[in-house]
Order: sequence, then structure tokens, then C-alpha cells
Amino acid sequence: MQVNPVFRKELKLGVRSARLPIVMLIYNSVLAFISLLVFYTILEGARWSGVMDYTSVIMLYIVMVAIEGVLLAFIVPALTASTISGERERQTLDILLTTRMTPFGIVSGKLLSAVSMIALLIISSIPVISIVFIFGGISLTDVFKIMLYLIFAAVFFGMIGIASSARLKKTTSSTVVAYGGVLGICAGTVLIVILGALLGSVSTTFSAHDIVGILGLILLFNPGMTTVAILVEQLADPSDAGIVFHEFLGVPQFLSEHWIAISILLQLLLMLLLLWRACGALKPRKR
Amino acid sequence: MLEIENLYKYYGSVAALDGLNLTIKKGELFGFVGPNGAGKTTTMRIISGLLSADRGSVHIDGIDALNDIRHLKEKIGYMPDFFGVYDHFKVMEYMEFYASAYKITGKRARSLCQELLELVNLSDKQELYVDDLSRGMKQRLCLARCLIHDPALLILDEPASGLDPRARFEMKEILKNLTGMGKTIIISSHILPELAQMCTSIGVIQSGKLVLSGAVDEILAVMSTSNPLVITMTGQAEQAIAFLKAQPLVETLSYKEHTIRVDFKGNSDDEAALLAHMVLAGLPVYAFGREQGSLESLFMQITQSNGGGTFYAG
Repeated sequence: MQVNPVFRKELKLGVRSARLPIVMLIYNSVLAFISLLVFYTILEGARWSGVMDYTSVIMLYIVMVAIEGVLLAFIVPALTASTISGERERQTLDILLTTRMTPFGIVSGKLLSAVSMIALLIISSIPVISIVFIFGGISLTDVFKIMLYLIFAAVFFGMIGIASSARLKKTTSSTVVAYGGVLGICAGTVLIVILGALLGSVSTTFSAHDIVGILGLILLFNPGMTTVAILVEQLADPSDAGIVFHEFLGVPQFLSEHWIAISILLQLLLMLLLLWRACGALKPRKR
Repeated sequence: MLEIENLYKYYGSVAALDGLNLTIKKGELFGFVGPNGAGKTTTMRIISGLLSADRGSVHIDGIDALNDIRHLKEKIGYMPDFFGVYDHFKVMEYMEFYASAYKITGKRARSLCQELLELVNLSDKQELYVDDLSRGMKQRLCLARCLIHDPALLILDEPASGLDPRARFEMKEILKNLTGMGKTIIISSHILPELAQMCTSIGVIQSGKLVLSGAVDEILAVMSTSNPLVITMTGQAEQAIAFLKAQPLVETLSYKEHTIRVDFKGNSDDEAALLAHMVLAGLPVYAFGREQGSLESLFMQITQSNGGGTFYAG
């Protein structure tokens, strides 16, 4: 079977450019700096108190996952928002579209290349992440699971970048829209729920619990909330995740019990929708 | 080979193509001429499957180019006016990438790419980075890329723009070779004298309509009959002027430095008869003939005062 030509080309050009090594260096440096700072604080605390607080180790794990997630949310849109608009600006997109490559072939080649870059970025952080194994309490499977989801979430962010890149002519506008999309999904959804709760607290018709119970469903699209659900499942009792979403957000029992699976499924559907929209933007009628 | 019928394309309320009709025969090197915004690039992008049309039909070798994009892609090779490059790609890698985009891979792709690079005189540049090539070389590389899948129709948007005279000459020679190989080529260009030398036929488009179309020689010949007669004398200019004024087909004339310019409303037989009468009258005629028309003057004439009708030569 033939490897997607665009994917192959992107990989070849990617390894010849200085961009990827620089991004990896920055990514791992930031991650290592913050992780080692937290690690040092834990050790200093243990030295002064004479007691090793294992909840701090758990906190270190959570902090590292959070930093990795935030870094990916910052880096991935920048890496992907120029993928197709860049081809358009170089005037190579028209040439590609007159070959036997279909819009789906071009977009999926770009997506595959983004996935491989993201995977490389996350895998390169394994030595830094391994710091959590020093005191135990976190299993290899836990780290593997969360990394797998981080790759998925990063691909989701990447797909937002690629879709905006396909639909907008200029890389600058595509980058702004991609960051807006990622921010909207991660912070905007939370903000909507908070505003709903505030509205409910002053409303005489609806209670905050009712409003949040409905609005809370949009959090299923938020990769941050899925990460929280995975962490809760790993670090507390597996059934706690369901209880957290059911009691705090008031979402239906079934949804809260299967939050991780449903949210991943919905995010996957949203990714497919973005993929479809990106392909549609490259069809003749749209240009 | 290519048949365009009643092609319409609107950008908002502006008609970029306003019922364009065009037919190009197999093996022709067709020059597509028109002022900026006339609809040349729009037409070429529609033929290439990059843009949809609002109405009309485009058929290439019987294939419905507006609906059967998959088969269209096998028929056409498209070269845009701007040569886009990927940094860090070598010449051979560039060719092999596009070969893989046509599902041609492995040894077959390599030998094909080598053949094409030879055809465009770039076989010794295979290991150079594309970015390091001169503009002329890049254009030739882009042309080689167009030929990877052996298309029947080449659509070249301003292929000679920005090239120095030598690079233009090389490009011209390659294009002539390609028509010799049976390819049909459409070229849009603003370098009109070159189109006149290179193309077998031309079409002039203005405001989305084809206002003139036909073989270059025929167009220039037809155009020449409306040009003034230029008669150069070695002497007896005054007698010659008096003689010409008495001729019924002569409308106006002017004289300057042994040369008489005559607005003569006759065909080539009338011209021959006039020359014979002048010689019989003992007038010393040194040179006699219609002023030669150029594609450039024709282009200016048509685009400045187009009555809206379409003119077909031949």
C-alpha cells in the first residue's frame, strides 16, 4: 500500500527543518523546569518535616499532566494552523489539487503528519514524566493511559488548527481562529457553565443545579474535563468520577458514569466533522 | 480536444466569464490573450478543475471536465503563474513527490522523473535544492512536473513571465517539442510577440467573452488587409501621388521621405493590379506592400474598441 504522499513529504520536510527540534526543546525544558521545581519543593518539605507526604507525589503527577496539556494546547494550534494555508500561500495547493490527490488525501496527510509530530513530542517527554515513578503510587499503565489521551486531545486541537487552515486563506487569521477554537473548547465551555450557575443562583424560575445539569453537558467536548475524569478514575476510587460529575454538575447518572467514553466519542465525532469541513473547503466549489 | 460552451462564472454580481465559447484542436499550441481581469486565469482554473463554473460546459477529449474531476486530472497538467516551492526539497525529490501524487512510485517513478528532467535540460541539477534554482530552471522544472502523468492537455498560466530572454527561448523550444509530441497546450501570456512566434492559434478574451479566435497567420493576414499600403519610391513621388489619387480604391494618402502610405480598400488582387499599373506608368516603385500587423497592435485594437461581436479567422 502506498504511503500518503503528503504525509511522506511533510515528514521529510519536517525532519529537515529546525522547527521540530526547537519545539521539542522548549516543550521538554518547560515541562522539566516546572516538574523539577515541584519535585524540589516536595523534597524540601520532607526534609524539614521528616515526613514524606505521598499526596504531594500525586500532586506532582497532576501538575505534570496539567502542564503537558496546557503546553499542547499552546503548541499544537501553532504547528497545524499553517498546514494548508501555508500551501495556499506558497501557491502549491492548486498544483496538489490538480494531481490525483483528493482533498481528503491532502487533509489526512496533513493530519497524519501532525499526529506523528504530536506523538513524538509526547513520547520525548517520557523521561521527564518518569519522575513520578521515584516514590511509587503511580503505575506505568496510569501514565500510559493519560499519555494516550493527551495524544488524542492534541490531535483534536490539531484538527481544529487544520480545519481553520483549510477554510481561511491567511495563516495569521487561521492561527487566531485555531487558538480561539482551542480556548473556546477548553475555557469557553467552563465559562458557560459558570455563567449558567451564576444565572441559576439569581433566577427564581430555575435552580443553579438544573441549569448546570443541562449546560454541563457541553463539558463533554472539553478535553480538560476528560483529563480530569481520567485522573479522578486513576487516583481515587474508579466510581468517584461518576459521582463527581453527577453531584457537582448534576448531569444524568448514565452520562456521569460513562463520562470518559462518551466524551472521547463526542470529541471524535467533532474531529470527524472538522475533517469533513476541512475537506469540503478544498473542493472546487468552495474556492 | 477542448470544447468550452457558454461558460459563465460570477464573482458576486460581476461576471468573470460571460458565455465563453472556445474550441481547441488536438496538437494545437493555443495562446490565450486578454487584458488583466478579462477572465483568462478564471477560464484556466475552471478547465483545471480548481474552480467551479456557474453555467456552461467544458469537455476535454469527451470528458465532462466540470463533473468528472477524477478523469479530468489524468488528462490535464496545470502550471500556475507563480512557481511555489517547498524549502529543503531537492529537484529529484520534488519530482518524485509529484510522481507519488499520481500514484507512480519506486523505480518507475525515478526513471520517469529522470527522463522528464532530461527533456527540460535539468538532468544535471537533480541533487540541487529547488530553492537554489534560477527562475527559468524552476519554470522548466514545473513544466516537467506537469508532464509526470503524461497529460494530453497542458494548461500554462503565464509560463514565460519574469524570465530572461534566454530562459524564454528555452521554454519556447521545449513547448514546440511538446506540441511535436502531440500535446495540446494552452498558454496565457502578456508577451504577445512571443505568442505570435510560438502559437499555432490564439484567442483574445475580453470581459469574459472570446472576441477573436483563429490561427495566428490567418489573423495577422486578415488584420493586414485593413492596414495601409506602404509604397516606397526611388523618385517621381509627386507623379506617383497624382497617379494614386486618381485610383478609385484609394481613400487617403500621406507622403514622407520617399514613402507613401495609402488607405486602400481592395483585396490582394486589387493590390497586384495597382502595382502593375504603377510600373506600366513608369513610376520607380522600390517597395510595395501592406504594413505588417503585429499581435500587439491587434490586441490593443481589439481591447480598446470591442464592438461586442466575436471574430473568427480561418
